[in-house]
Amino acid sequence: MNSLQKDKPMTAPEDDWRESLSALVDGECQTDELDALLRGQVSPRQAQDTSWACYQIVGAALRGSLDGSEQPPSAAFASAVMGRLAAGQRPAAATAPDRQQQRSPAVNDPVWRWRWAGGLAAVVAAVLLGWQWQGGAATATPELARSDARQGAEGGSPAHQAGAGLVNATYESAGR
Amino acid sequence: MNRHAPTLSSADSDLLLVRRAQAGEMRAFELLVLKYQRRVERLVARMLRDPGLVEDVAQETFIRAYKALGQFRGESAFYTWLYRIALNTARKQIADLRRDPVQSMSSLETGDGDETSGNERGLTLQITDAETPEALLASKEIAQAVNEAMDALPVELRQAITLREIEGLSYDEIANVLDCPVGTVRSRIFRAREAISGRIRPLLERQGGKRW
Repeated sequence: MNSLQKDKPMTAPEDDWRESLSALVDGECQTDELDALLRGQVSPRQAQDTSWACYQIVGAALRGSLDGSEQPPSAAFASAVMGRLAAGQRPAAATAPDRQQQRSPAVNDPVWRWRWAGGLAAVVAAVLLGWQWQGGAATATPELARSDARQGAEGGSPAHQAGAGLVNATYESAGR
Repeated sequence: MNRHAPTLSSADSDLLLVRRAQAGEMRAFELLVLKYQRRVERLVARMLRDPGLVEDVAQETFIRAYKALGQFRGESAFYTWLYRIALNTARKQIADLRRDPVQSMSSLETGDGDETSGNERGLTLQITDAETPEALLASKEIAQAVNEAMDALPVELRQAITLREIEGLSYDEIANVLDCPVGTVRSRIFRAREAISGRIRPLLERQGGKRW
């Protein structure tokens, strides 16, 4: 039966959306009414929220299912949820930059260039340290060099002995 | 408005709203949030003691529900589906709290190591905010106000709202029972709701609802 047109009692225009909302509570809302309700074309959102919650509580009361949780829904709660969802939806447009950030950075990227510079500096520092170690050993104090040489002569490992010979020879060639 | 537009056949307004939300209408989902916020909070409050956490977990429940909305096929009631998400979200929160030594155990509903048994015990023994004497008194007042409003309604409005809310009949069925057009049924139900709402709004305002 669809006789809404002819038998619908007159209601004030401002009540039309409330009646649509009441029908929505019952799942009896028409598609065009629902469109208008959801798009906020017919009612202030806050008034809609209030009536929506009230109708739910009236139903619960009539069914005897009030359980102590019939406080009005908090505006802040719904706003927070919808705000978080809206923020979460933005990444749909923002995912492209995210993906760009994940791909390999271009070599002319400033950060990448700093990494190259850092790596190069580390290699140079390692070479310099190695060179200094060799040169530094050659100029070690005579007592230490001699002691090493003696240890080598007294039967250290072959490597030790070779090192001691080298140090000793260097020391001797330095004319000391 | 075209009164000959097809009436949405589903008796489940939740499903209507879910379908619209699935199609990207955020307002439809917001109405579901408004409808179920308190029930979800109450469920979560049975598992967690910290009121701040309860609200966080309730919010997270709706966020997860929205993200998973595409998987909702309507085979169960929306609230059943939402209830499951709320339970899982609260359980995850409990597990996180137990892993975090900084968090006080007072945030949890029980201090033992058995999460499942703790939750079950929480479901039966914990007194939640909604079960405080104040909240129960408020519910009693609302019920009383609704009963008084019902008594004051013209008989045709009282019949219509009773058949809808208590007997669960559709508008068509009510029209058949009352031998009147569907539009009249719809209007009577609406007017009954408005009359009763007028009685309970002051009570809800007193409870601190900021939008009332």
